[in-house]
Amino acid sequence: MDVAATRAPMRLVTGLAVALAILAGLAPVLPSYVVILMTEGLIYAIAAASLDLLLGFAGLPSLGHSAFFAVGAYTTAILVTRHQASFGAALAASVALAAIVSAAIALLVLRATGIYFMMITLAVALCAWGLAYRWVSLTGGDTGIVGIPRPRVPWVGLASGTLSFYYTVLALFVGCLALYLLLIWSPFGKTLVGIRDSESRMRVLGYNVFLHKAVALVIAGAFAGLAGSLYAYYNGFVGPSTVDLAHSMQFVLMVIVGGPGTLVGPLIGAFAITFLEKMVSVFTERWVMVLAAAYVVTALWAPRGMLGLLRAAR
Amino acid sequence: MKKLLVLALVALFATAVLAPAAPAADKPPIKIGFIAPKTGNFAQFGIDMLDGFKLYLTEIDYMIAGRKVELIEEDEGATPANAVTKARKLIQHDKVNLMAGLVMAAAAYAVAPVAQEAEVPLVISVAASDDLTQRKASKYLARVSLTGGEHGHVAGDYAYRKLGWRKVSVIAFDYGWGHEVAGGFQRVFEELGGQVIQKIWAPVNTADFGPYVASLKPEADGVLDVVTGAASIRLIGELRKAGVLDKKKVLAAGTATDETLLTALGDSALGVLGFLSWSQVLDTPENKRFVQRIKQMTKKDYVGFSAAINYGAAMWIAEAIRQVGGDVENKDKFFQTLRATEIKSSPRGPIKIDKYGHIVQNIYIRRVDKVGNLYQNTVIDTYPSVGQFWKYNPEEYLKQPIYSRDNPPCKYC
Amino acid sequence: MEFWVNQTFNGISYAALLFLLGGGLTLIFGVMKIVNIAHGSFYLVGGYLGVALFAATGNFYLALVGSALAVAAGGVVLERVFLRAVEGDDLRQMLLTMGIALFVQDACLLVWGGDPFSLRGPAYFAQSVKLGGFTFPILRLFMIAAAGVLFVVLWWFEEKTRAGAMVRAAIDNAEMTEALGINVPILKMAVFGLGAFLAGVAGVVGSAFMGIYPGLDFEILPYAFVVVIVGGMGSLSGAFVAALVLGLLDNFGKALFPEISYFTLFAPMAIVLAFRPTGLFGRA
Repeated sequence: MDVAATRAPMRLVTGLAVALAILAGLAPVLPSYVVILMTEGLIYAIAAASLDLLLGFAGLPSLGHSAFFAVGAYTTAILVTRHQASFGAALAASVALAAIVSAAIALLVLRATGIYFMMITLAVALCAWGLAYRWVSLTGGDTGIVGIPRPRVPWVGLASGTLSFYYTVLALFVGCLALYLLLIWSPFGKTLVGIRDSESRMRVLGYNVFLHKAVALVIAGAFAGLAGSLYAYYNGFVGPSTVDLAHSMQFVLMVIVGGPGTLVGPLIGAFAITFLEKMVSVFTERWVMVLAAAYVVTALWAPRGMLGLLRAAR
Repeated sequence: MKKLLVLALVALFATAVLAPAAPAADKPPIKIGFIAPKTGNFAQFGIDMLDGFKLYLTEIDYMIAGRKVELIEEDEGATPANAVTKARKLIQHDKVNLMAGLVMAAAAYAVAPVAQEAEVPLVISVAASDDLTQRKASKYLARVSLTGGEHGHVAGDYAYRKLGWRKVSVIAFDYGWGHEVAGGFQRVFEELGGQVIQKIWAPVNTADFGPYVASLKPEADGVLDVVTGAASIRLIGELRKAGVLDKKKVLAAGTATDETLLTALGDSALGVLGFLSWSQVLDTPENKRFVQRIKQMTKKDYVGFSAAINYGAAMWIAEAIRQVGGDVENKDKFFQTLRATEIKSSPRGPIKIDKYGHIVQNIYIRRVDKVGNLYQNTVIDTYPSVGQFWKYNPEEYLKQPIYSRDNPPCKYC
Repeated sequence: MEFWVNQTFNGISYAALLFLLGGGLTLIFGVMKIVNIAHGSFYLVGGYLGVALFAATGNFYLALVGSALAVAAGGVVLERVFLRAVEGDDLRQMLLTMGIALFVQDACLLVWGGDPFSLRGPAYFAQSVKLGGFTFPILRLFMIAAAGVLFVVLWWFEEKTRAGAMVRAAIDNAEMTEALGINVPILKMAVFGLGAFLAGVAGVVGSAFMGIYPGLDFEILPYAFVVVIVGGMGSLSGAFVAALVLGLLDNFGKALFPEISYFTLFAPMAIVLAFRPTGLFGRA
């Protein structure tokens, strides 16, 4: 798999900077529904990119990423609605809790590899769903937790408007992106790629493969928790559908559709799927079929995802 | 080739994103945003809702008080998050004057704050979720569907007084609707002197009701069934197979015996009693006319509750708009008028809104019978003008917490 | 006493459905190593076709076999036309099966609408057999019989026939099997069709047992996965044992501790995986 990010850093950074400038500058003139969807796209982009760290870079195809996302979402929901937590506190708690949970899960899931790893992570997601559904006193069960108000963001105030919330999310997105880049350019990131390419070789070279994978899982989980927290604010509510089977698959699909192992690919994938799901319904009732067709076409003719397609077209 | 594909996709994307809004006419249309599930588990509800709502609009040619009505439909899907996004779209992008619809209770709870914040009236036409017109009531919210509590109260009264039940087992889905119906039932039933001796909460996705049915206490006089949707087919089928329906009666809540389920329920549901604010065979001229017209439109023998309720909702909304002379932009006046509007006769009967925004309506006791080749919900009793607080004083009622799994507690379990 | 007999019987009949669902999925996993998200679609189409065929012919068994075969055929076409093209790449295959699943779901909505259906079946499905003071609904007996017969046939096929040996070889090591001259592509196609067949049977039986309606495809998928995960990928016996354990646990769990249903399904899964990541009968 082509790991563009580690090859031409300057070109990547300029490309990203331009994209971000467009995202920031265009927002005030775009229809507000589009800005709403862009906000959702950014939130999913953070989560999808964190999954890419596992799937694309470390070679860990985790189907359970929604579990960490949900931990973040529910943590924020509970802290904000029941304990009036501030934005910073809720965010920090969500990240911390998601990281702790992924550390615990790491011990369980890292004993398996390949398709068994996929299954065991899927099992984690299913368990998380069961818990969200039945631990009614904590999670509100089927109804979930409603009435999450928009946050009060430092230097911005109440981010309740479409644009103010969008910029809040965008700022956090930029922060996450910077951290992701640092991570994959770091020796740690390169080791992950090495592990993905050949675990045995890395072991022979003396690397602690287990530790590296575990750390990757914790980091990815933490970022997913952050995205989950923002998701809770975005929707104003959290429910078990945040962690059901379809939603778990959603994250993986965003990475695959965008192009795994490229960091930029999943960002594109997150936007593409968000827009396909929410925008197409404006034009046709059969939006599910359109989404399905997009998946099938991408699977068949875009082996490296949409990013691969874009690159080939250059 | 690939370049063209990419270019085409980008162009398509751009047009979608930057599509200009429709040009303004002399008098802009009244925009009503309708959120209903068109895909997923609840798709049939959505289809029925839109059929009913649009039937009325068609009958008045989509014109109210000299202004055209533009109905913008959005798919609620199967997750509440979808409903929230669509609500935001309708409010901010389409700039609707009013939103209606919603099936999922969780979706209603989630969308209500969005509507409140944007000061756009929301008319809930299927979802229950009691608290939306009780402890979470707001002046922007009106509900013309039903609450679990109000139906539960009626059932509790009927079970004690007319059926002569003294001990009851409850089997209900473990979510808002289940809690609220069971809670309302238990409160009234026990106040009259009855006892709820068993409460089984089944998870909403239960596939196999066998174990629950097998554990129903034999000393109960009757069973309160608060399991709706396709699962009702499973539960009633199981009750029939286990012989429960031969020995005792079942009171099924709301749409558990909805007309759209009767074919799938088949003979297993014969004799099952139900309680809901409508029946296809309700014998009023208004209902007969409605049923005839909607059957022409859908070409089906059975008409669902959602269709009837939404037809009534459209009637009521239109009447309110007429009373303000079409001036929906004057928000305060429109809200007040909306709340004060009364309909003397709709397919389900009269429609009147109480001061918390909820409908006051007749609730009918029904029984599943077979007439010729078709099943029906024969109306065997009527509770007229039932309010959401039953005979209780609203302020006193609201001091208590909402009906939930543990409220009222099961003293005789 | 009646309680225990009834609940055990109920649990076994529920297990029968779980086995039909999970058995097909585990075979597909074992031989093709893909996460077949379209498995729920096989169930869904099987169910709808079952209802339609029964309404048309009035013969339940014809409807059962006809629908299952139709679904199997669909599976074979799916494998040949779509999955073959993305061979070897698990992630792309997953994406593809997701796309197919979504497409089928919407297509079913278009064709059959949103109303739920129930397969009535022959009159005796609504009746029960009385044996030794206990009542056993005939439909449940049929479910147990169908699953039992299919398991025995499949087990015999896998263990005692040459074709079965090829399947086992392909599960263990597909490359080696191909190197030995066995036509693995045809094998994969056949196994996928078989998996679809079983899911189709599950769909027909399911629509008689609990009805069929939109969204059911994604609703039952977690159950299928749990059976596969606990039983071990590729192991038919594993699926059988797992289905039995889960069916009984779930049933007794609901009857004795209704508060914690779902835990009774997912907790065992977590426990099994904690000790054996490859499932009860799986091989690493």
